Amino acid sequence: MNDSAVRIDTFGVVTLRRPAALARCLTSYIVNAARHGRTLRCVVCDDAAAPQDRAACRDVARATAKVYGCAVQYIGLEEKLIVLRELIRTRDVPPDVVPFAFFDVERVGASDGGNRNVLLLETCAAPILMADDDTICMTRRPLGYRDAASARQTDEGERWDPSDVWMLGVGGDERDACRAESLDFFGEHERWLGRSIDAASTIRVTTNGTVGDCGWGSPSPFLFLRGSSLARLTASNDRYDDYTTSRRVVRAASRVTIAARTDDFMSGCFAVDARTMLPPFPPVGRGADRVFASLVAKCCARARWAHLPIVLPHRPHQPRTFWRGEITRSAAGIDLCTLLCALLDVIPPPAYASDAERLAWYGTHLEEIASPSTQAFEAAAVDAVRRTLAWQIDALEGALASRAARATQFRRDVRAYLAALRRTSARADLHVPLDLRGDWPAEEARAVIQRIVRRFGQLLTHWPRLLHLRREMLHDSHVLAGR
Amino acid sequence: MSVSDRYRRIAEGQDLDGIMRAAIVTRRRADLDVRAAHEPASNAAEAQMVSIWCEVLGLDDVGVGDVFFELGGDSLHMTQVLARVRHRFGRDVPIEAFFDGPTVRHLARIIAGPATPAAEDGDLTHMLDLVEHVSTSALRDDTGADASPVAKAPASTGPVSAGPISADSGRTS
Repeated sequence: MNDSAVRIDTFGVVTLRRPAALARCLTSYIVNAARHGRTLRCVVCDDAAAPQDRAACRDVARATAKVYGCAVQYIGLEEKLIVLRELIRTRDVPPDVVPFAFFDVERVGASDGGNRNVLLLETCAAPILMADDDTICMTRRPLGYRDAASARQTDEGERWDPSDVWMLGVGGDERDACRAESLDFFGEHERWLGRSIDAASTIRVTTNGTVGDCGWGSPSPFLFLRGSSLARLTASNDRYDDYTTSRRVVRAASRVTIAARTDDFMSGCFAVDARTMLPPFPPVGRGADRVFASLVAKCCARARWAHLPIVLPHRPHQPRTFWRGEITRSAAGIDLCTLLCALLDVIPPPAYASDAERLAWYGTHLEEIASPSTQAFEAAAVDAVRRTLAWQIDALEGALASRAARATQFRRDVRAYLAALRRTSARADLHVPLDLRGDWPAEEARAVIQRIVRRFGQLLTHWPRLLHLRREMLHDSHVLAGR
Repeated sequence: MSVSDRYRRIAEGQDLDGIMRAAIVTRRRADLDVRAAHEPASNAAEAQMVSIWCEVLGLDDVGVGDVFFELGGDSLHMTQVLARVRHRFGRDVPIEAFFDGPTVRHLARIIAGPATPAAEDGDLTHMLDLVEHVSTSALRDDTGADASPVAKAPASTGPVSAGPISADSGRTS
């Protein structure tokens, strides 16, 4: 592996109506950087709709800049509208692409992907470390930590996050699974980001582990654990309920692990090398990070992920738990981002193309899938989702056959999940995401999905152009500022 | 049929559904007692919430960690609980809270905590109206004369430009 000269000076935070968490987050990363002689440029991207919520986060940004003497840039609605206006005025991209890229214009209900797109555009061409506002930069090493000399690569076909999971349960002590260690957090990411692995492969994303709330939307990931993580989960029937309801885990790779894919990527804290094109996030729907990861694998030639053996606390504002029996809930259907991933997976990869052309290839195909009659779209969508569920069913059947899965309660839950998945898989409206069911009349929900798929395809097609336009604007303004 | 009529019918064995349901609840209750230690309310909000659950579910007592759905609660019971919470606490608990944590402890924590403004529908609508307005005016207005609502941004956002969106927050660099 070759050394690289990537320097991460930009720190981006996405936030939404949590000024106290934002203050804690900013402070922790700035202090860590300062301890190691670094000065950060912080960018806060706020998704709040209410003016008073934005004012609170704006105040936090201003106060933090004053206290620590560093640049803290705040991007809220007003600032996004300005960029939106300038990009549309170029008339270089279809006018409805930009609002869709930034905002929840279809009112699906979760738009952190749009917030991240603004961050990617605003920091394009620079390596950047991004974090959620409920992470804290207090560095720890996971249990079984091994140093950089032990770095390993996963098999080329491996799809999933190679991190280990230690379940803590309600009363478990975090120190049993990780220990505090003072680290130059940004320096640890710099050591790997942008590195060449071989003649063609480069690390484009580095990510680290977390301790505390697992951040999962449902407890079903417990059922898909493997290896030593699965062994820990199923070692005792007595602890199983506690483990699968408490949400408290340590999730991290115990040594640097280079992977070609990370389909179940969680974007709590990660660094990207954006000197060359990276794909956008789907602007709406929970789990946008998974679609981003899928697109990185498909469109960024020979991109690699580095999973670093560092653990940061993840502390949501309100402690959460899963409820008993919730583990089968997510088998009742899919979410919007699972649908997008499923559709991307059935598009044949292009033979030879640049990264931008690959992205446009997938964009054009999504537009085509979503453009014909509703009936044709739904047939394609149902087929794609069914393939994804078939893979999940195979994985769970494998888990049942595994000798590691001894705990009777685990086996009971896997069987229940499998039964629910099979029922779901047989549904004609399988492609209608759970996030849209209930809030919308059925017909309207189906129309919205088709529209979102088409518009996301359009965004992929035009994203490289948006990046280019924004880069030119930033360059011009710096030139003007320098006069 | 009034509640007392219903209970009389249950008592007289006429309401078989009710008897079955009561039996199921009793059995689940017994299961729970074996599986999870009964945790009594430890503060006023939890005590009030326990009382509401008991009224709605027809139980003598529930623990703060008991799961609503395992006690026989369904969507109708859920709306009854939320209505009584609104009446007694003067607070609206979103229905998603039930799915985030269907326990007395979780709901009481929400009641006892500061009122977090939910994403106001009005604010979201206003925001999306602004987005649409700015998008259409950007196409119409090539002169750069700013008729858009961006001009209404609070003064504290500082200078804004087509360059880096520098809502300057006291930057020193």
